[in-house]
Amino acid sequence: MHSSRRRWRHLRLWPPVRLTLELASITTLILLVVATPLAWWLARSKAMAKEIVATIVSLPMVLPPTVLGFYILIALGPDGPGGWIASLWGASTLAFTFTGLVIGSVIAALPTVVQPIRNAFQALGDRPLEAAATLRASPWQAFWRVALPLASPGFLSAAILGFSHTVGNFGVVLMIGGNIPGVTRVMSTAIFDYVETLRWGEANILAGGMVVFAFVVILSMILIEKRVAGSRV
Amino acid sequence: MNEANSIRAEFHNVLGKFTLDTTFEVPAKGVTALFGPSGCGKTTVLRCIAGLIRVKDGYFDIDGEIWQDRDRTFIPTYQRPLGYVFQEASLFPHLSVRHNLLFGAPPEKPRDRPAIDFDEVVDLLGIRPLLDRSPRNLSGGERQRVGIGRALLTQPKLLLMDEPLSALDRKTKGEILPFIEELRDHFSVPIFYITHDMAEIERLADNMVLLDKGHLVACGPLSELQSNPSLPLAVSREAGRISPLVFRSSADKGSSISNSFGCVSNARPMPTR
Repeated sequence: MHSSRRRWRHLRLWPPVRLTLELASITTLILLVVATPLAWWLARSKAMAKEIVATIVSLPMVLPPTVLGFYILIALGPDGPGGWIASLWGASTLAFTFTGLVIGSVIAALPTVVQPIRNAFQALGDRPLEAAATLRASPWQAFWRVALPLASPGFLSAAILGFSHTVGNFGVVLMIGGNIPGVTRVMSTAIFDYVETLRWGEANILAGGMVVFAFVVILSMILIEKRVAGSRV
Repeated sequence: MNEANSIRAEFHNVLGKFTLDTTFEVPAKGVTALFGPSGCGKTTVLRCIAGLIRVKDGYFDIDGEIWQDRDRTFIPTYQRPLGYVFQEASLFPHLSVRHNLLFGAPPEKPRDRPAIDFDEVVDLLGIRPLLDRSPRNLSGGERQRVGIGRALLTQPKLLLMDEPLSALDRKTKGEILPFIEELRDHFSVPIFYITHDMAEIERLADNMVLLDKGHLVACGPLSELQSNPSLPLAVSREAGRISPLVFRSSADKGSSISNSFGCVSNARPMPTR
């Protein structure tokens, strides 16, 4: 009797965990694709406009999640661009959907991903790319064969940060997701829900899991940085 | 356009306080040393030739093949058949020595000139035992040998070397100089060699381009310039030491120094000591 209740409780916990992992994985993949050309441009361009763009990209770090969530909610809603996109498949809004959650998470985590990649590209300097150019590599080939592999530790940090930022996101997710079970209820909002309804046991398991996760993330970041520092020529 | 078997370079540019104003023509064979005190624009000229710097008023051709003609033609660096050896070897740390060497090697051998063979280069430079190692674990001299090999294996029509020995200690220098002599005698690639060490020039160079503050002072066969009493070469061992005393300010313009190639412009006589 007791053990079956425990199993039942764990099954209830699985959907938000699975949804969180799905959201964070998809968000991280999209972030790497979006942030790489952006970080490259920010690292290498001499245009004055780039610092303006860098500031806009960094805004989500400073704004309260509710402010960010509010604007994203409007943008995703029936009168915003999200509503227009949703109309392509006959829906009226992207708010309170998983797709909307992915878009919001990408915007919220963009600064944490762009920054380490930009730093990694900047740390390369011009020389490796000049050397590649004198070795017949076109700018495109030099990027893939030299810049990207040399900046790979930056990408690893960026991916870890983007993933964990998305897992830890609460405000934006609550504003635009609405905490719908199985659709937009992720771990962070599930914990909020369990506490509200005085289900301390479930809240404890999820919260404890998050603490372990955060510990592993930070430790792995430190170890990566140590390895990179040790391998510089 | 320029006749075969010679190299013609013209670069004119004002960049802040630094004025680059250099025109010279040298044979497209053997070693041509670019010599002058530090800050005289040797590296700038080499980077212009490589296309790493783009000056508007620039011209370069080798054997009639134009790499830059003012604004009309500018072939990007990666399409120029050149090899470049930097002061620090600048190897790619994420690749093994073997993959560094093969990084710029074309899949097909060039048809218009004798091919440079991988095994030949590896044996000549004595880097066979290093092939599977990472550049991180090489000494400075070993790295520079790999850097030279990597540049050669791109099958260049012109090899540019920017003070390849200056980052090395005297002993290592002495170890590498014979390799450079070897490759001068062994491969038919013309070499532009920057140095401020007269001893290196005496060992390696056939021709010399003498620069000061971005201006050409003289150019011609080494023996001819060394015996020219108006140039300080016979006495100086290190260009750095002679700079303020013997090199005249770039503002003066004298008459041309004539020599067998006929340096075209801005050559001016130098006072003797």
